[in-house]
Amino acid sequence: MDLTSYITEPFQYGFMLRALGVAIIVSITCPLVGVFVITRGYGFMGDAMAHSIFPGMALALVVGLSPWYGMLPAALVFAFLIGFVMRKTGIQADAAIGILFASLFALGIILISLSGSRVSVNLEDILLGQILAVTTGDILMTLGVAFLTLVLFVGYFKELMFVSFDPIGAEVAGVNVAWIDYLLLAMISVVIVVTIQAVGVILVLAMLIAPAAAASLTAQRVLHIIGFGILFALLASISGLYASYYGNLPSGASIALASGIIFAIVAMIRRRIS
Amino acid sequence: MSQTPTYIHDSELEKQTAPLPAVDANCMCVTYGQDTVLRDVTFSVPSGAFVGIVGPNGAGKSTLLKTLVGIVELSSGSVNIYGSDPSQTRRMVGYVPQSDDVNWQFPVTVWDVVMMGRTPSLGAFRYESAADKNAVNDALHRVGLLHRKDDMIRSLSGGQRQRVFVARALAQDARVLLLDEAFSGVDVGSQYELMAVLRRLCEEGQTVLLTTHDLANMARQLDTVLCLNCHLCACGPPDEVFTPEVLEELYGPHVVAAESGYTI
Repeated sequence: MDLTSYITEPFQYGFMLRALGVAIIVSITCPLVGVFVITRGYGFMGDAMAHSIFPGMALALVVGLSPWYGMLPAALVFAFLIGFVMRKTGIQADAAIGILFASLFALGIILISLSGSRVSVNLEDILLGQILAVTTGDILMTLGVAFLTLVLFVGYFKELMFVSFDPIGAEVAGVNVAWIDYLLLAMISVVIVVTIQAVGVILVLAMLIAPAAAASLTAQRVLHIIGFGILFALLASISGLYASYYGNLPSGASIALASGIIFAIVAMIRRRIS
Repeated sequence: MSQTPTYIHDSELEKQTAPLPAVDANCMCVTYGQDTVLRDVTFSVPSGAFVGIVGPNGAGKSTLLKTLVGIVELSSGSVNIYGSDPSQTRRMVGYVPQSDDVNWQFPVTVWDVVMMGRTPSLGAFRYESAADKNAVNDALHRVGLLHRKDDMIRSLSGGQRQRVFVARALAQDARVLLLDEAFSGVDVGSQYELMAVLRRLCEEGQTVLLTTHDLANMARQLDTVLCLNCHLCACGPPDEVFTPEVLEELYGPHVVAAESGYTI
C-alpha cells in the first residue's frame, strides 16, 4: 500500500469523514477559548463544566431525545451558575464549584443506571467520546454552534482581552465586565459541549487546555497563541483519528493522548532552545 | 481643618474650563454595610493640579478614587467631575489600578494595552481605525515608551508598566488621571521618571490625582496633598500640611517622631 492510499483510505468511510469534520471544528474552537482558560486559571472550572453537562446528556438520552437537547441547556445553566458563584463568594468558589460538579456528575450516573435496560446508553461512549458515531445532524449542530461562538468571539475580542487583563480598569472604562465574563463562560461551555463528542466528558481538558498551553510556549501574543493552538489541536485530533483507525484504538483516548504528547514534545523543544 | 487649595494655571485648556474645577467633592460619605469608609469629605481640585492622597491602609484612599470613576456609589453628599456626575464622565477619567489587580501574565503587548483605552468608545464588533492608531502612537510617545510598543507588558519594569497605563488613559482622551498606589513596586529611579512624566502632563493641562504611601519623597513633590483617614484631616501643599498633629491623626503618635525630622 502506497503512502497516498494509506492517508486517504480511512476517509473513504462516511463515519471517518464525519469524525474528521467534528475533529476540525473542535480543533478550531478549543484554542479560541482555551487561551482564556489557561491565562485566567479556569482549568478546574472547565473540567467542572464538562462533568456538569453529563446529567443533561443523561436525561436527554434516558427520555429518548438527542443528547444535544440536554447538553446545551445544561452547559448554559452551569456557565451561569459558575459565573454567579465566582462573583459572589470569592475564595469559596473552588469548593462550591467542586461540590456542585461532583454532585451533578453523580446525578447523571444515577439517572442512567435507573433507566436500566429500557434505553441503550453506553456510559463509556459518553465519558470517553464517540466521535466515530457522529451523525450528519450532529455535524450540522456542531457547525452552527461553533459558528455562533466564532462570531461572538470576533465581535467581543477587544472586550475579552481588556477584562481578562485588567478587570477593574475595564469596569472603570465603562466595559460591562459581568456581561463579558458570562459571555466567556457561555462560550467555554458551548465549546466543551462540542468537544465532548470527540473526547468525552472526562477527556475534555485534553483539547481545551493542552493545545493552547503548548501554543503559549511557542508564541507570545493572544492571536498567535490561538493560531498555533489550532495547528496543534488539528495535529492531535487528526493523528488521533489515524491511530484509532489503524491501531483499532478508542478514538477519544487516542486524540487526547496525541494532544498530551504534542504538548510534551513542544515543552521539551522549548526547554532545549531556551 | 480642611481648606480648599486654589491654583492659577494659565494653559489653554485651563482658560476653556476655568469656571469648573476638575473634581469637586461635597460632604462625600461612603458606607459598606455597617462600616463608614469615607465621612464628610469635601475638597476641590482645579484643572491641571497635581494632587496626592495619603493616609494609612483602610483610610479610604482607593474608595475615594473609585467614587470619582463612578464604580463606588456615595451614600450621601456629591462629587462632580468638571461639573458632571462621575457616571456621565467615564471617558474623561483615566484610571490606573493597583498593580495587584492586573493579570500580568496575560499575553498582551504594550501596544495592545494602550489600545484598550480606545475599546469602550469603539464598542463591540468594531475594530480600530487609523485615528485610534494615531491616538495610541501619540500617547506612547508622550510617556516616552513608543520604542517599547511591541514588547510584552510582562517584560517591563514596574515604573514602565505604570507609564503604559498612563498612556492608556491618554489614549482614552482622559483629562483627569487617577493612579492607585502609583509608586508601589516601582524602584526609586523609575519613581522619579514617572513623577516627571506626570508633572509634564499636568503642565499640559491634565489633572492628576494619585494615592501613595511615600510621604518622605513622592508626596513632597506634589502641589497638594489630601490627608485622609476616613475623614479629611488636612488639605494643602505638603510642607504646610505634614505637621506633627496631622501625622499623628493619620498614623498615630509613634510616626510623628520619625517623620518630624523632615517636617520641621
